[in-house]
Amino acid sequence: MSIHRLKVFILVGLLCFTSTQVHAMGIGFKICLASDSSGVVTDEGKPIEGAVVQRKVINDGKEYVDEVITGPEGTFFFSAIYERTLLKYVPFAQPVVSQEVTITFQGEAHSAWRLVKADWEYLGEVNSGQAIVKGNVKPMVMRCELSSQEYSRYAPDSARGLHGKCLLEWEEKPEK
Amino acid sequence: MDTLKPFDAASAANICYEAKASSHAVQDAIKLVSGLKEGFDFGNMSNFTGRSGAFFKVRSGFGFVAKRSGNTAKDEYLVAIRGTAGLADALTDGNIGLQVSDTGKFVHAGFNRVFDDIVVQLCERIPPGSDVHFCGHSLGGALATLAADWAAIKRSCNVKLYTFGAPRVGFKPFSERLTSGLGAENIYRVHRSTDVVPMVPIWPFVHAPQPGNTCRLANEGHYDPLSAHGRINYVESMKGNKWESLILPEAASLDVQASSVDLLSLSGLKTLGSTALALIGRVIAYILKAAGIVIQGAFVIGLTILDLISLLLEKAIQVSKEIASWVRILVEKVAQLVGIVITGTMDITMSFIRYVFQAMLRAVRSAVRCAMLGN
Repeated sequence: MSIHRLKVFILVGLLCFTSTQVHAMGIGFKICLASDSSGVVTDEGKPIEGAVVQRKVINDGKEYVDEVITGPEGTFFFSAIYERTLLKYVPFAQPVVSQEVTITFQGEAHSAWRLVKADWEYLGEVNSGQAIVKGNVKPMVMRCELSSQEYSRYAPDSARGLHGKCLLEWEEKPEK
Repeated sequence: MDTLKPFDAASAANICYEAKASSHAVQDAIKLVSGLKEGFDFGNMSNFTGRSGAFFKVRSGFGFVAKRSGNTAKDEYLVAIRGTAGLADALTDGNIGLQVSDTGKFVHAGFNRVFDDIVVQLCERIPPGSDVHFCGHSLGGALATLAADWAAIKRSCNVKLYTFGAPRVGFKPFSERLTSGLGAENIYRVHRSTDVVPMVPIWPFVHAPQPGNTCRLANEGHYDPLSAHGRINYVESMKGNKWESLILPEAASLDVQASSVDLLSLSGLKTLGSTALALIGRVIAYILKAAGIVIQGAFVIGLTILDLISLLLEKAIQVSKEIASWVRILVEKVAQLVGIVITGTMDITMSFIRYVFQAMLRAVRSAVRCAMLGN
């Protein structure tokens, strides 16, 4: 076998590792699949204790599910999810990471937010490319009013779509 | 058929990636783009899939077709094709061989194989003679380019093409025929000055329109090639823009630009950067033009681009002593730039040319990787 062919086989072999294997071995580059997110759940303005908040993140067919229960002040928090990949620096490989958060209270499910993360950056879900370049990012802190309608809008000053009942703490209430 | 606005075209190229996340992600995203939501019937849109990969094939969602809503004189469709979003696609991109496209021109083999799978589904959805907008980002832009060529030539469609950060798809005859088939004014090629993807594959692949204009965006702080290529950053750059403010006159094609001055300029090269790569491309084009060598015929099938460059330069050596000396100057300079020492008596054979250019491509890849890592 020529050296060239051997190199190709080694490369393909490395690329064939699943991200889990890559992660477990501590090789590859760190990527952010979902950033830290937190919020307060209210109903008619009153904090809701005991609501179940579930976050489902899907990247390239791999699913991560977290579930938390709101505290007495209606608060919840999800930690960021990171992975390692050998493809981080392949510009062709565009991230497509789905993130769906659902709040279940008294048997009723509410869509808190739905988005598709299109980069590997921390807080890339809700900040523009310009804000990320300048290091001027804002947090994913949500206000979730269960009695409100669902909103579909871009995160401020960006083309990052956000859908669901929760609003970013730092965004103005959309018109509809 | 009216031209899509830049933001709407970029959004379509972006939204079709979301088909990979979930079908309702596409419906969510469409709600935000009024130009698409109001213009096309997304309630009845159809998705299509594709098989990609070099050593193993994976089938996944590759885009959507939506029909213009309301009564129009002709059927009008929007077709958006996504780019790379996984391992299989990355392998496709690295598979730089050559194939003859559906319409008979040399194109990138990896792109063409994916397109061969998609075209069957497009056939079922797009009637002959329709008006069609094709949009795509990255690999999706390359596939949209092949689709536009197919629709114009094989289906007699009236086509507009919008690509964002797309790589080169075919040789000059392909790009020229695409340009004459669609009309240069119907090809909107958007790329960012710091995006590396539109710079590959290297010459003799060329962009369309050929000749024609391009839409080159400033770096806007996106020096990192990943963010420069990011699809969402292209969408953000299109916000509030009109095509008139984006279009710039494109420089003449490579072989028209190439001159003997380029040969002389080689000696001034000290490092292997984008300027050096552009100059090396022009010198290769100049040498082949002087040697009267035109890339055509079935002999290129099965060759990689490195094989082709090496083969053509070796042929050029045999044309005259003067041209042989130019090839030697070129190969020696490239060798010097990548740290290979050539002694005065060494023969410049095809395999040696290939070795030197392979080292050059390795160095370029390494430089790009360093740039990406922030070194």
